Amino acid sequence: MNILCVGVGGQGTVLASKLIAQMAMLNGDDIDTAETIGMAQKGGSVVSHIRINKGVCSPLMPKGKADLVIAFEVIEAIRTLPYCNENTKFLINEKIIKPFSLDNTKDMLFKDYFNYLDNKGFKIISVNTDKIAKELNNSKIRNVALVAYAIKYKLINYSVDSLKNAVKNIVKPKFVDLNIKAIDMVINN
Amino acid sequence: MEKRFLLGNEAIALAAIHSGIALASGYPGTPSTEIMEAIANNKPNGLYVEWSTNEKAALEIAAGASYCGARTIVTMKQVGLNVASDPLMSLAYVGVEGGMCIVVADDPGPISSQTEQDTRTFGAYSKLPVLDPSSPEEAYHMTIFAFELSEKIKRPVILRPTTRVCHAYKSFDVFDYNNTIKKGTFVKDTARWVIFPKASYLNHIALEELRFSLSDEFSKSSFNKHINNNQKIGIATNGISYAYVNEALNGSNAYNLLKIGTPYPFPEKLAIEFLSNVSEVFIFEELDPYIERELLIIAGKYNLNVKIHGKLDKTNSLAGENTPENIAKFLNIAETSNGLSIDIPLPVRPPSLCSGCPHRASFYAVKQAMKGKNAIFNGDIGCYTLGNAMPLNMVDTCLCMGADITLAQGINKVDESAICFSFIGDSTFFASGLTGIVNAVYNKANITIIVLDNSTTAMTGNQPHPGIPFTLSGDVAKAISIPKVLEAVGLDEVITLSPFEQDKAIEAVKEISAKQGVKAIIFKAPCVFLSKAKAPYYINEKCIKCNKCIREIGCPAIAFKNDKVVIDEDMCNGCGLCKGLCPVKAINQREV
Repeated sequence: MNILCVGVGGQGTVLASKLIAQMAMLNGDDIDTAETIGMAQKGGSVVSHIRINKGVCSPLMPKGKADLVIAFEVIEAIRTLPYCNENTKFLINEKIIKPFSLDNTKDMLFKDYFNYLDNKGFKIISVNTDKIAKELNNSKIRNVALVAYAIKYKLINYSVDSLKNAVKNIVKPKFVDLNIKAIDMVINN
Repeated sequence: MEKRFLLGNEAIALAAIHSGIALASGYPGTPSTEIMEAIANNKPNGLYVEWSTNEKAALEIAAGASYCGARTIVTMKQVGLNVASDPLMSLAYVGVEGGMCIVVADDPGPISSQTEQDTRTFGAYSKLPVLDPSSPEEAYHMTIFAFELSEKIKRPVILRPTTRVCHAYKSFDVFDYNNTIKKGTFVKDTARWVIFPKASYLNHIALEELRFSLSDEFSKSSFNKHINNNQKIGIATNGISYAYVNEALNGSNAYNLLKIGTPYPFPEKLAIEFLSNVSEVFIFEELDPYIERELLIIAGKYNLNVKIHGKLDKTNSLAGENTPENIAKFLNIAETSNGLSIDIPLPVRPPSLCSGCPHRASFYAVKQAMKGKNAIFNGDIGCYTLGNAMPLNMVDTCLCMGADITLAQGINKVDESAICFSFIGDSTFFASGLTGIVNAVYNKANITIIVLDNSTTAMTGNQPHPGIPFTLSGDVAKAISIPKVLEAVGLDEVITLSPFEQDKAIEAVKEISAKQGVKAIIFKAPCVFLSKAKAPYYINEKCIKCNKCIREIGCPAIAFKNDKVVIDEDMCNGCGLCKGLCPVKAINQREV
């Protein structure tokens, strides 16, 4: 399976990618990922390539081969199209981050970009993580929430328990409970 | 043996620890930084780690320990090797006692670097062995081998991963090497440790001889592969491109294959075997046409009738990264795809200063103070290079670490009417700024130095430096005071203040830049990654949509949405810079 996890630098895509990889490890699957680490993490476009059980292969997937796109931001979801095919599924966080431009009077709305993708006929699930972030008073838990949604909607084939175990293995101890709470909120809603 | 999921850089770190290193030193730089961090996070008792002030210092420190017989690792990015090149070239001649692995991470693209230089070429120039891993797993095995080889030949060995290997995670089996840490003793031997022309002549011969003996040994190395599928066309490749080739071949035997994991000394015998069996060769490698040149030399030397295609005949692109699909298309075995196309205009998203970043406030203060004046803003390497973006547009030059200080001096010597500013970060100040500042004082320069002190090395992910009261291993350190250093070297005036006190900051810049001589303002405020966000700001109904807050400072948290100017309160760090700009006082802070 090939998964792209995309967003804007600072949103936490790397942790989401690590959680998926950790679940794959716990499941005994072979896993390769490629991360964007460096300058782009300061507000640029960031992409994680996640490849599960692909045998001897490159950490970057070739174009047209993504099975699933997990997007933290809608413009970045569209930017993955060269990696997609007609069967690619999308999980999109209902968020738009407008990049700075001097012509900043033009509006950019989530729904316009979302509709562009939707009109192409993909299977898309969009989720709103605002409520969970607000309730837990932490905007950083959106990444674990998105992975939980991917499990809830059976976009990835791992269990809720394996996500919780992954959290215990890689999230800093003092944030584990908060992350577990976020997972439960997603699953029980 | 256990299965681990490791970042390429963590694999290198783990292999170094498994090899029993006693000392690790380095300077942060993408894509190499995580190696030192992983060593520090997993270090056994008795292993010494440090972030050194720069790469030259790091290399010399490791060399000293290796002279004593201890195993050492040094890490840096490719441009760091330029800084460390002075000790490197001499150390190749002098050699070491304990195994020494110099990790230099290259950055094809470049993704986060100034240049696309190739450490295989640099390594060959230094005449030291170079190992070139194609995966995190191979990086692990090559690091283990690097120490063994280094101890055998008594010279450092260079490991040069590229970004896609450094920043790839892979699950693989890790073996239980448990070399205990061996410290050492310095044994006096002036003929060995003191570099002199006569000894250098002999060492030069030894280095050249080593090229021949290692070339033969490497022809048998498992890091190199020749797969003869009895085809007339061959593919030669290395590093991450080898992974792309494998993916595209998917088990096909349509080509003969040569994979080079030891670029220097080049495995000549293996290459002859490869070249003798094909009539045409296509080469996939990033950065320099290194393998291509070696194969051309060997084909010429042995009069082999083979056509060689790569960058030198412009078959392949001259710069940038290879990609899996480009190689797949070229090899034309399986169906390849271009994916789907994007048929609406998408806004580009270049990296930018974070919301709440103190550098934004510093740049804005200097910009305000210099409005209408002939001022030149010399920038440097770090997050603050991003001050070049619109609307700040506050970086007129950026060359290499420390050059902001010295370029400003050169410009002012011939363009005397220009008010020359040097913007330097706190980590860069210690890494390469000091000698330039001493030069400025001694040679009576006329510059204003702006130290952007955010109390960290921010761009590479917040590493400590000599101005911070703790070290990489978490020990308490004696932080070196930047203002005291500046006063000690004889600056005419040194002021420290917070850039968020905009009015004071603007006045200070006006006042100090009008004076002659070398003077400095230290804008001190912590990186947003180090400080807890304050309550966010919001824009109320008094807003007249003049967009001044957007146009002037380019904060990523402020945008025009649904016919309103709004602050994304998730992104806002509560710095309040925008509040001061608003002509109708429509920007206020939320109550906590």
